Amino acid sequence: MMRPLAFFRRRDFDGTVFLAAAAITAIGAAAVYSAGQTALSHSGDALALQHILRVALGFGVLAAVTYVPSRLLDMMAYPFYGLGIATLFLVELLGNNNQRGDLWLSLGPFNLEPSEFCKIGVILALARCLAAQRRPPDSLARLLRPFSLVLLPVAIVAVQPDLGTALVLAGVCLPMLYWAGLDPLYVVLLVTPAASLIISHWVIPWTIFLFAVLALLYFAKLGSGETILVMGLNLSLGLAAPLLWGQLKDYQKARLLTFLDPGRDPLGAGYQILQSKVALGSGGLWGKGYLAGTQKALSFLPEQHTDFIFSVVGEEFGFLGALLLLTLYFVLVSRILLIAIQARNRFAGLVAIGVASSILVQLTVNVGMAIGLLPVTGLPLPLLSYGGSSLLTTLCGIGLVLNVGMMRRES
Amino acid sequence: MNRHGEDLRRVRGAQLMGAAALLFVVLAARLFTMQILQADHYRALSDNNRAKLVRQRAPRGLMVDRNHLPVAGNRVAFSLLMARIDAARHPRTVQAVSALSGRDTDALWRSLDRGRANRYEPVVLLRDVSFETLSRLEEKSFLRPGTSIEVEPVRDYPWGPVAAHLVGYMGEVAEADLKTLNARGYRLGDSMGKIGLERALEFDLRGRDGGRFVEVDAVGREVRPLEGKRPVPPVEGHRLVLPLDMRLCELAARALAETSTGTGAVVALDPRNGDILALVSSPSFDPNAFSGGVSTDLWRSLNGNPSRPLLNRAIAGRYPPGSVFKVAMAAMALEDGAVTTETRFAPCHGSYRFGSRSWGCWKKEGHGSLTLLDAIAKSCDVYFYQLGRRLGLERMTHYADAWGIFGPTASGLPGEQRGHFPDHAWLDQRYGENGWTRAVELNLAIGQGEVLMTPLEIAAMVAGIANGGQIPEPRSWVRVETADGEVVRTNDPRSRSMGLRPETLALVREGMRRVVTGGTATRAALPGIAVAGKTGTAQNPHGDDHAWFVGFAPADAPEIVVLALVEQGGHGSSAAAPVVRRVMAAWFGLREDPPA
Repeated sequence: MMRPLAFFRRRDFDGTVFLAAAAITAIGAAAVYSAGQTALSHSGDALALQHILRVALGFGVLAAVTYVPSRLLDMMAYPFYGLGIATLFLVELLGNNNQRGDLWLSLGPFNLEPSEFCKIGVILALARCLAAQRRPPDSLARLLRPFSLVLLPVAIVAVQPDLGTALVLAGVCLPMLYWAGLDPLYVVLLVTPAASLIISHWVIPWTIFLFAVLALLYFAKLGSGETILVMGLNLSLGLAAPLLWGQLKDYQKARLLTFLDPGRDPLGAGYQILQSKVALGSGGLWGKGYLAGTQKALSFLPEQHTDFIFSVVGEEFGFLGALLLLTLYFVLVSRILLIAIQARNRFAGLVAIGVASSILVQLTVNVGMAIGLLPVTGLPLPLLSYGGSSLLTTLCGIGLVLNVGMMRRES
Repeated sequence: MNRHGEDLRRVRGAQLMGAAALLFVVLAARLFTMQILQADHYRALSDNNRAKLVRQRAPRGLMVDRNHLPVAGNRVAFSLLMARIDAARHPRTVQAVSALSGRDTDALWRSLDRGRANRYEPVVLLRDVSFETLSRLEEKSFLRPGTSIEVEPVRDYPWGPVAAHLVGYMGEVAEADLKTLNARGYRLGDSMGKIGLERALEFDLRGRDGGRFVEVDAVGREVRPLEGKRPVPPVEGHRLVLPLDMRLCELAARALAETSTGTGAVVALDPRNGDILALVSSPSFDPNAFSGGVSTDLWRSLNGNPSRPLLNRAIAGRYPPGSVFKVAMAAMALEDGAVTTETRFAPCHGSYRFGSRSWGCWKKEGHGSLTLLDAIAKSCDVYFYQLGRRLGLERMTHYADAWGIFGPTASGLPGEQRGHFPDHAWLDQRYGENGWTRAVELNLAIGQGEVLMTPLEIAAMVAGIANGGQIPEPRSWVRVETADGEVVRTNDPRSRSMGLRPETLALVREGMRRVVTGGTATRAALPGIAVAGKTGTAQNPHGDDHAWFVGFAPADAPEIVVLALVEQGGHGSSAAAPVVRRVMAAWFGLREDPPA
């Protein structure tokens, strides 16, 4: 009994990160319970119980990961990554493809989402790969390895097609590369093919865009190999855009179209965003009170215990509650970034950057969706949403951060 | 690792933190906008979201006849409701409903599709489901999924097909009309009067739907009553008092049905105030069949029926008036001084020569030499040919316009048609300036050719002659009352003067009296009551002659004008006059039919 307490009292244990994560998780459990209390069903009790069991399991994983010797993490990075990729493949082959497009792997009583699980593997492997390179990744040759590490799972996930997770994986690796010393020019160049994919929809802006990229490449005095590669990627992704659009499922197309024109289908895809905004906006300053959200109670909110959990919090606790929640996230993310800044070990810093980015990207995408700034992607809100995989992955990631955080005064 | 790299990572770590801070500020700013600045807007949306008005249909106002007998009322009926989404899930239910109700599947799907706005909200699939259908649905429980049953008032017509054209029937609001009717509270799937009085007085009869506010979930299912919102009770529609005598209508309908063709119309007016005492058109239909949403089969059989049961012949059928029009001709000629009681034209030998043609009298052996009154009584065509020649087309047109007998009347009944009298300009236009001859005057004088009138127009005209020269506007309703009997508005009698001298009127009435006492319509005579009238046998290019009789009684102080038209019934005297006699006998309370 004394040992864990002693563990938490260690000087270099980052209590702030732990407490912020615990506070968010607690709010999440309360919100999940509330989300289950609707006028038509009271499944909230069962949902909340299951959620709390998962929280307990998650904190167990967190503690275990925090305990593991750091060297073991470094060693396990590639095997972990390999396991992640393998499960992704497995799911491609065996997975039950449910309607929402997510692929799940049933492991006994737990449905594990391999794409979630894979995130940890990618962060660890990328951290290890970048840490091993003595010089910053500032040339095409040095970018090749970290790049392949990320592109492989992104490609598998994108084929599913789980666009949200693909976005998160890509969003995790860019800050890590940047932090490791990647030239900002390269960051821009890496983003251009993705931008090309979207802009290619409008022919004239796309042409202008391509010339701008070409000019950038010219003035940056990059070699012809790099120029051809970047331009080739831009062109081919732009040209392939209609094909990729055809690959999207109907619900995904609807979500994207609705984002561009929310009034398009007020009872279909636009409905979700509208109802989420109504829930949040009607919460006002103080909120309608815990368990008293009417939008929530009458099931106007879609997926309210997972994708739109933030709207439940915003409706019931108002602006103050939502702001408190955002502040907790900011404390969590900024403390993790601080760990990265103070880390003397590159691997430790990279892991912290990766976990912070993962939380930040998911938070932005999810909350951005709930408040109508971004299209509906169906990504959970880390630590808050109901759902085992996301919770487990995020708590595991925080465990990693706490673990490597203790390396900062190691010498 | 070198010192430089570490510094770089510090700086970049700080930059990333700045980026994170920026993201948080953006999210928080957006939340501030929504939750503080636009909170009222979203709160209103949220309140509207969950509040739903469940309508309670107002019972439609009653209609009663002049003896306070119910003409149209309401009964409780069961409606079958289904939501689009449930229908999509259980297409078998829709098929089963179609099989049991006789409405085709396509029509059912169409009615389901109307509620496009909300796939979850049940719409009326079948209105007024019979108890048998309902219990058969219940029996086969597998047919039921997704359906629900609602109780609502449905229009009921205790007299069935009697005077159905005048009373009207109910039907669903047409989607095209919904835009304009929306402001008056009409919604998709509502019923409204389609023809007759139901339609003419729709806004009086309708009443105001009530409702209660309920809280609904996202898919529109009722969760619980909404707090703080009182239910609004429905307000029953206004009561309509009709001048109609339904027993008289029933008898008229029966008399008409018992004629050789059973097709035609009977109109009975009170010449003193224009009250429509009876107005029937045959064949008829049962308006009750429409109340629950008419089945496709029934609609087809009614609409495709060559005898056109949906046509209100009394107001929308345009016929050549035939010899009935001689009444008008005689009045015109007398008023104009073209003839006097003493005027005798060339005697009738069964035909009259005009132009290159011989114009026959209906009586081949001829009437000999006649005065005007006898010419009316015997309906001598040859006499009227000469009368028409002397009067001339222009004078006929003058009187036709002055009397306004080529309506439409001010009955206010939807679908009323107006007659037609061919004037000079019309004939020029139709046949060219030299394309017609004065021979039209001969034709018009005996009510043939291009003169057309509706039965109601003729009845109104005769009522004018009967009552001293005031053509009454046929009155289809007397007053509108609240359900408690408070008068809302009245339809006061109106009339327009024919501008005829009393002598003219007296002579025409005398002629009409002779028709019954010793002329063509002795079969219309009643014991103890002086009947006057005029027969007509109108040539019909499409088949046998149409039989007319229009009469009034008592001849010296008329209380009632009765007109009968029997389509293709042959002679007015044998086919139409007995119908009128039966109606009059009933009106005057004569128990047995007098011998013919």
